[in-house]
Amino acid sequence: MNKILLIALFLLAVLIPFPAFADDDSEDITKNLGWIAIGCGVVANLPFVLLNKYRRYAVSAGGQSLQTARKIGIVFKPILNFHIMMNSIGYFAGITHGMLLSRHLDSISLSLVITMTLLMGSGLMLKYSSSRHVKLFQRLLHGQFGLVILLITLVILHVLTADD
Amino acid sequence: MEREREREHDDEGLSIGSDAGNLILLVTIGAIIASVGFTGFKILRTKRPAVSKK
Repeated sequence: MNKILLIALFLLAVLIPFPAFADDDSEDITKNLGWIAIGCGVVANLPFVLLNKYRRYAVSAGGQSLQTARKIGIVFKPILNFHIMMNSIGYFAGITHGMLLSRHLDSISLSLVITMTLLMGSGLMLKYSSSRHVKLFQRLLHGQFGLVILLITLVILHVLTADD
Repeated sequence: MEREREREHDDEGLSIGSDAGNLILLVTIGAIIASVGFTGFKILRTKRPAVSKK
């Protein structure tokens, strides 16, 4: 009971809502918001990517690692749901942020919107499409290394040029 | 006046229509087209394995 109370208090302390605005005059607040968003992105994507890579490795390696992968398979669905939930929140929060601050639109923001929409669209089609061919195409497109690198670069550039 | 013009010039750095801005947009669109093309190519390559000549 005490442990649960401690964890709840810790989570409450970390997640206490605090008003902060991206168009604030203070440069620190703007950049900190950006780094928090990047941190959320890492939390949303890194466990899912690592789990996926390990599963693929285990299937090809076989033996002991295949048994471990089967055990890990139990947590695959919750981690996938967490990945979808966090990225959906991030996408819609990002779009709202863009609409509210559209007067500051620059090429990095526009590129970011295009890349995010493409990845979100491919993720949605991957989840909801029933066609095998569409699923295969979207699975490959959603995990394209080039697109991931492009997104990371654009997000970091967007944060670094936030005060301009 | 001079300072204002200078600031406006600085703001043009990454704005849409500027050289750097256009370059960033071109790189993004190019990377997206390349990714989609590469994905299609990958699927076509795996679906039609090369037939060995006897």
